Amino acid sequence: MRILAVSLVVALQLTLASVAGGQPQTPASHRLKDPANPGLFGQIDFGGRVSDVTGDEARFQRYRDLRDGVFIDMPFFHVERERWWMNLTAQNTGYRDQRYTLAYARPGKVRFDFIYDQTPTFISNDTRSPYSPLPGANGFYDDPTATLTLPDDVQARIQANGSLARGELERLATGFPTMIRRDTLGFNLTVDVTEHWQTRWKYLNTNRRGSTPWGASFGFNLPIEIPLPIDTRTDDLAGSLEWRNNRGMLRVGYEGSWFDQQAPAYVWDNPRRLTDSTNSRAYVDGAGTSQGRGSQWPSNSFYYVNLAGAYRAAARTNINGTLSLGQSQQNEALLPYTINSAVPPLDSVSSLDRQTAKTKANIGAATLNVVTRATRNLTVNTRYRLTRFDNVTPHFEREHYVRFDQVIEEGGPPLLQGYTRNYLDVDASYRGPAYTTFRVGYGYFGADFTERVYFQNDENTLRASVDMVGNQRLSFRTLYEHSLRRSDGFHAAVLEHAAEQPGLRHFDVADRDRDKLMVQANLLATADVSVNTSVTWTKDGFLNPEQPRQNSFGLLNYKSQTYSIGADYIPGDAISVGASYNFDRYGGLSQSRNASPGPQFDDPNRNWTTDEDQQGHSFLAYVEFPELGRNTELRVDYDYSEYRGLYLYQTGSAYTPSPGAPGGVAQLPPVSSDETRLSVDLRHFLRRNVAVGFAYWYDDYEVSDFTLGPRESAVSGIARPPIFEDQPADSAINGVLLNYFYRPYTSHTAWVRLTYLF
Amino acid sequence: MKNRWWRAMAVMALVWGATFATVIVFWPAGNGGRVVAAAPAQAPPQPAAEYAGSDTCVFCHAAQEQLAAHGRVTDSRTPMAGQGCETCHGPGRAHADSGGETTLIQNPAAMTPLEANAICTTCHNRDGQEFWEGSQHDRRALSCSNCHSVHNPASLEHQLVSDSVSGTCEGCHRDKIAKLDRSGHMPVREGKLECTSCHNPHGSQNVRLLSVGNTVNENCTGCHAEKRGPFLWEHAPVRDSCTTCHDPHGSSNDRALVAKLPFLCQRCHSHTRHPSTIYDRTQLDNTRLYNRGCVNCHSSIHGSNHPSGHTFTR
Repeated sequence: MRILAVSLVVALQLTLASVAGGQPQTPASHRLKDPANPGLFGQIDFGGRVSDVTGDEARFQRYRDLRDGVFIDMPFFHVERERWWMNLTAQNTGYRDQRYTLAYARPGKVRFDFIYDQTPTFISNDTRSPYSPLPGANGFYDDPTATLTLPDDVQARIQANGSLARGELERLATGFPTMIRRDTLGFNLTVDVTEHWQTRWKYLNTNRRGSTPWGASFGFNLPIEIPLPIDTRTDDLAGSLEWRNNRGMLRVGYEGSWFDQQAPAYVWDNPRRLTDSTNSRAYVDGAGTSQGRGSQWPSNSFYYVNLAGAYRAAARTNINGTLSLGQSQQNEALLPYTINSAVPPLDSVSSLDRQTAKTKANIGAATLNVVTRATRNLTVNTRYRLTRFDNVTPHFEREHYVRFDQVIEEGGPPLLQGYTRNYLDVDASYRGPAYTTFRVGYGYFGADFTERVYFQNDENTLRASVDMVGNQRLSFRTLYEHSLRRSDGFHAAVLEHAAEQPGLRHFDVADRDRDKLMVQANLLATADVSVNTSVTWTKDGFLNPEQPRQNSFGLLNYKSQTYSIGADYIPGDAISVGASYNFDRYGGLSQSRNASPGPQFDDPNRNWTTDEDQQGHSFLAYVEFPELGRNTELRVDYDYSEYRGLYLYQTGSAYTPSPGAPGGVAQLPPVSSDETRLSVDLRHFLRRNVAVGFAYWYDDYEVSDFTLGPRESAVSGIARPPIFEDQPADSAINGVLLNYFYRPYTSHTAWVRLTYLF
Repeated sequence: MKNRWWRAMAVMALVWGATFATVIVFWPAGNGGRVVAAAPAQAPPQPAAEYAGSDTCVFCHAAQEQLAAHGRVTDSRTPMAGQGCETCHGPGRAHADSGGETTLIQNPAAMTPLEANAICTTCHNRDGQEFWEGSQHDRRALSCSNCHSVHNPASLEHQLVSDSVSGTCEGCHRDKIAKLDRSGHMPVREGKLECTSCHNPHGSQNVRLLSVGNTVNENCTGCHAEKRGPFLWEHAPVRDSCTTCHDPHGSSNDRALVAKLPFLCQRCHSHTRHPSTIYDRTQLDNTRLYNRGCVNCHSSIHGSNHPSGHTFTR
C-alpha cells in the first residue's frame, strides 16, 4: 500500500441533515474527489457517539441504531490497478444498522457486487403488554410460534366478574421493545463472456425478525393489540443471458422469489374468557372464545420468464420491448374456521372446502416501444404495455364462517380479483427554435377487471408539453394532461356482497375526469446563482353515471397542489449555499350515509361528507465550506417540516347531534406534526490525511394526533381508559393496547471522530 | 377477459416475431445513420489524420483530464481505449489547428439533448440503460448531463452532478424529496435506500420508471414479499395498486398512508352501521377511531389466508 505524503490540513465540516443528502453519520471527505493517488484512496473513521433523547427514542432512531458508544465507519475505499478495481464500504460496524458493500470489477470481463445490510425499524420502546411470552431485549421472540398467554387465574376472575378490570392487566404488563430487523445479504455477478455475450446473476436473501403492533380483536368492543411475531425469509434469484452488438440486443432471463413464513399462525388468549363459549352477541363484547387464532401472511412464490430485446433500425428508429410470463402462487395449509371449541359445526379442518389455499395467478406483461426520429426535428414515440394478473384460484365454497372466533355467520366464497391492463401512449415531439421541444400525445388505458364494481375501464388522455432545455441559462418545462376515464359493466353484486350502498363507487376504478398541470423552471441567474421553481396541480372529479349526486358515495373529488422554490449559490469550490421551500396540499371530499339496515338505508337526509385538507410545508437550507481555510471542511444543514391535517364533517338534516355536541356535529381537532433537524459537521485536518471531526445533530418532533397522540387520545397505557387521572384499578376497560403512540421527542447527538484518508 | 388476454398476447407474439425476423433477415450493415460517437476499439488505434489525439487536447483542457471510469484504457469499452477525448468529442484536428475554434469540435454541453444523449448511448446501452430510448426522461428531453458530469462529478460513484442520488433527483423532483421529511417515510434520509432503489431513471418497462417488476405492486413486493399473496381473501385495492392507500415517498399519516384512518377506509366503504358512522369529537374513545382506527380489528388488511378472514379480522 502506498503511503501518501502527509501535509498539515485542517478540515471543518458543518453538516445539517438535508433531505437530499440524507443524514450519513460519517460523510466522505471532499478530498476523496480529487485523490493524490487515484489508484488507492479511501477514508476510515473511528470515534464515539453520545445522545441525549427526551421522549420517543424509538421514533428518533426509527431506521438506524444511534446508541451511545464507539463506532467505526469506512465511507469509501477504492483500489484500482491496471486491469481491475474494487470499492469497499462499511457503515456503523457492529450496530443494528450496519452495512457492508463490496464491488469488484475487471472491466469488460466481470463485475461482482456484494452487500450485507441490517435495517432496523424501531417502532417503540414504550410498548407494554400483559401477554407472555414477549420479545426479549433484542426485540426478537425466542419462539415466534408460541401462544401468547395470560394467567388462567386472571382470565378466570375476569370471566367470573363479567368485566375487564383495569388493575388485573396493568399488574401483569411488562415493557418490551417493538422492532423489526431486516437482514439483507446479496450479490450480483455480471460476466461478459465475449464481446457480444453477457450473463448476469443476482441472489438476495432477506430475513426479517421482531414484532409489530397488531390488531387481534375479539369483538367490536374489545380491541386487543398484540406484538405480532415477525420471522420470515425471502430468497430472490434472477439470471439472464444477453446477446448484443452495436445495433441491438436480445436477452432471456428468469427471476424467482420465494417467501417463507416461519410463523404461519398466531394464537393468543382472550382476557375475558378462560373457557370456550359462544353466544349470538359474543362478536360484540368479545366474551365467547378463550383464544383467538389468526393467519399470518402465508409463504408464497413468484417467478417470471423474461424475454427482452432492443434494436436500432434504419431511419433513426429504435425498437425495444419485453415479454414476461410467470406465476404467483401460494399453497399454505388453511387453518380451521375457528379455534373456539364451543362453536359446533365448523370447528374441524375436514369441513373446509380444501385443506390448502391453492391460490394461483398467471401473470404476464409485454411492452413494445418504437421511437422514430423521423426527421432531425421530429420524434414519434409509441409505447404499448400489457399487464395481466389472471387469478386462477379454484373456487372455494363457503357458506358460513366464524366471526372473531366467536359466532357462526353466513358468508359466501371469496371474490377472485384479477385484471388485464392495456396501455398505449403515442407522443410526437417537435424540436423548434430556442432549444424548445413541443410535444403532443395521446394515451389510452384500458383495463378489464374481475370482481370489481366495474368490469371495464377505458381512459383517454390528451397531453401537451413544452420543454425549453439546452439553454445554458434557463430551462423551462410545462406539461398539461386531460384525462377522461369511463367505466363499463356495473357489477352490483360486488357491492351487495359487502352490503355496501348501491351508489358507492370505488374511486380507483370509478369514472373520473382528471386535469394535471406541471410547470418547472430552472434559471441560472449568474454563473454562481441558480433558482428553480415548480408547480404541480392535479384535480380529479369522480362521477357516478348510474346514480344522482345524493346517492353517490365514496370519494367525490380530489385535488393536490405542490409548489416549490429553491436557490443555490455556488461561487466556486470554497462555499456553497442553498435553500428551498416546498408547500403541498391534498384535499378530497367523500360522501357517505349514516344508516342502519331498513328505511335509513335510503334516506338522503342521513348523508354526510368529509372534507379532507392536508397541508405540508418544508424548508431546507444548507451551507457548505469544502475548504474553509486550507484544512477545514464544514457543512450545516437545517430541515424543517410542518404538517396540518383537518377532516371536516358536514351532515344532513337527519343527523342527530350526540349529547356531547348538542349544537351539531362536533368537529375533530386538527392533526399536526412538526419536525426540525439540524446538523453541523466539522472536519479539521491535522495532517494531509489525518483529521479530527465533530458533529452535532439536533432532532425535534412535535405531534398532536387525536387517535395516536398520547396526550390527545382517550387511550393511555395498556388499556382504555383511563380517561381521567387516578381511575380506580377495578374500573372496567374494554381494550388492551400496546401503548404504541405518536410521541414527541427531542434529541441532541454529538460525535467525535478521527478520520484517516488512505 | 381471458379471450382479450390471449388475443393481445398473440398480437404481441406476432409483432415480436415479425420484428426480430426482420432484424435477422435484413440486419443492415451500416450504422443506421445514428451513431455519433466513435465506438471504442479493442486496442487504442493510431490517430487518423482528422484526429488530434488526447495529448493535444489536454494541452489546453487540463482541467478536463479527470475522467474516472471513462479514463480506463484497459477497459476496451471506454473512450480512452478508443480515440480518447475524440471518442466523444469527435475528430479534433481542425479544432486544434484553428487555435480552439468552438464550431470545429463536438461539445455535448452546447448540443441538443437528443444529440448529446446519442453520444452517451453509443456505449451506455446495457446494464439497465437499454431502455433509455422512449423512456419518460428521454421524452421530456433530458440530457445525460442533467444528472451526470463526465469531467467534474460531485459524487464518488456514478459521476453525478450532486454528491448523492437523491440530491441529483431533487433538482427536478423537490416535491418528492420534501415528502421524505414526513414522519411516515421509507429510510431514504437515513441512507438505507435511495431514489434508485425503486426507480431506474434510465428507463424501465414498468410504470413511473420503476425498476423492478411490471406493475407498481411487483415493485413494492420486491421488498415487501409477505404482501404478495395471492391470498384466499384478496382486498381489491391492494391487488390493484399499493399506492391506492400508501404514498411511497412519505406522508405524515401512520404507515405512509395517503389519509388518516378511518377516513381513508371511508372513501370506499359506505356500508351500513359502523363503516358509515360519523366519528366526530364525541367519538374519540370509540374503538373504531382511536389508536389505529379500522385496523384495530381489520388487521389483515392486505389480504387474509384464514377461512374466516373475509373481513380481514383474522
